[in-house]
Amino acid sequence: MGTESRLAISRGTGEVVAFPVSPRRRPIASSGVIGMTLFVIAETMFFAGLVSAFTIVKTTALTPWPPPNQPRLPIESTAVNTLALLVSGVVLLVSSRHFARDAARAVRWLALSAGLGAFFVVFQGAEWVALLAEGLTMKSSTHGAFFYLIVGAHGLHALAALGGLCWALLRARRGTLAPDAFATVRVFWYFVVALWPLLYWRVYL
Amino acid sequence: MARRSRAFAALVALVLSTWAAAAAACPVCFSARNADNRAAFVETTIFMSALPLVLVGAFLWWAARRIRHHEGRASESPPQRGP
Repeated sequence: MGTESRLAISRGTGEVVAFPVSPRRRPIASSGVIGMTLFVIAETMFFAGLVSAFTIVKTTALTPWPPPNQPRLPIESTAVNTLALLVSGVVLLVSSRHFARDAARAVRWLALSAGLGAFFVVFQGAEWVALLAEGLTMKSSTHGAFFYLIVGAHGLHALAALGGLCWALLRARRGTLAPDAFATVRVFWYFVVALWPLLYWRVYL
Repeated sequence: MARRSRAFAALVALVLSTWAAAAAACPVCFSARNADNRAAFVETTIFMSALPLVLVGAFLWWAARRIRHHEGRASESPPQRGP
């Protein structure tokens, strides 16, 4: 790649001089993707703090964990829900592969991904309703407080990311979804998907 | 006027910071009670210390990879010349 040069008039002598300039660098990613990545890094630290505090408190408990008088968490059904979320992430990856070549097919995969995401969020909501009815609340025990704090924080992220997916789906159907905007939404959803198995492992198992 | 407002805000923040019982507010500020608890302290300390380095390192690695990719594409394409 050759060095480019530009012409300018010297202030002192008034002569026209040529000076070398480096070729303009293209951005490595859109501002949205970089901004979302930095947000994801910050949120990862937030969840790491929650999980660390949970781990310390869990090993400090004088009674068995979870406390004997508290309801058990639904491990098996949540495993199915975890699978739905993971599949949603894979489906979104497939959608992104098709996006540049076949927009109609990408929309179908994107709709499937958003549907699986919605299933996850609704399932989590139903699980919370059942646990609240069984007596697990924020104030019933430290176990309950941490459960709702960690799983609730993830649920809020899932809800926000699902909103992003639905927005992307509407734009994609109209044919106005920009690749950079789609990539930004994907980064957020992949974060929600990748984080959940770790939370499931630490909180449920 | 703006400088005075900033100074007042800083003073309020300073007074509030001395008001709170910061140590008592920390949920994990106590001595380890058993072997599991000691191990949890060690593991979470390592985890919380290493994670920022891993995240920032991964971000820089990704950025460097993207830059190399872009530079490779730029060197493959012929230089654009004006009419």
